[in-house]
Amino acid sequence: MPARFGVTIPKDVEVFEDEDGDLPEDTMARGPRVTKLAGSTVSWSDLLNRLTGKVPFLLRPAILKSDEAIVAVLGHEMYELAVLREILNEGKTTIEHYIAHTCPDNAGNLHDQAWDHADRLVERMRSGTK
Amino acid sequence: MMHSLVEKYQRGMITDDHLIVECLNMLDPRNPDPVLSELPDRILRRMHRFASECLHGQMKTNFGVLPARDQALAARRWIEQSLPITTSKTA
Repeated sequence: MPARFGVTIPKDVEVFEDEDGDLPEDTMARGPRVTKLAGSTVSWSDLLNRLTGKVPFLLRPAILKSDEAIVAVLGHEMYELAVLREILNEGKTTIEHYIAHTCPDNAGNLHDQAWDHADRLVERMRSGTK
Repeated sequence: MMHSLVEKYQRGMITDDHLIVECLNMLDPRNPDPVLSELPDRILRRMHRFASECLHGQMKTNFGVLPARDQALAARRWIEQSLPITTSKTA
């Protein structure tokens, strides 16, 4: 369903329902945890589960009850990840920069831009265009 | 708890480093065995490197709690006693 509305989940990404309630109450979905020595570079491989070779995302099950919520939340996460993939492949992103790109409450950062993208997807969905 | 964490890793729900950080966080420094004995050698080797980094510098994370120094130290010691670890030494 998300693909119909402009959300593509890459083959090296896997989305799981948060069956055990690991997500904080104010979090709809979450990408991988990244923990590094201060000043060190984050690489794409840091986002992967090495058994599956995929980037894991955890999704609050309630999201699955609403088509708009699915498109908004997955659209946000996949936009953010697509840009991160390009940035990380340049090999210059420190853990501090990674956190600045992806944390909430940092106006204008990648996380913020990803919500703008999600809003556009939902608007298009409501207007019936793709 | 430990079983559930390893199962999540095996299903692909968390990354290798996420598993390592969570294991270090739940480890009792006086008795690391219940946590560490559940982990495959590959993860323990990676954990050894991670614990060494925790002991030598400041760690940064995008979410969650970082392991305490005594947890990292206990893990590194346990792994060195349990596995043949090659450590690189510099002058």
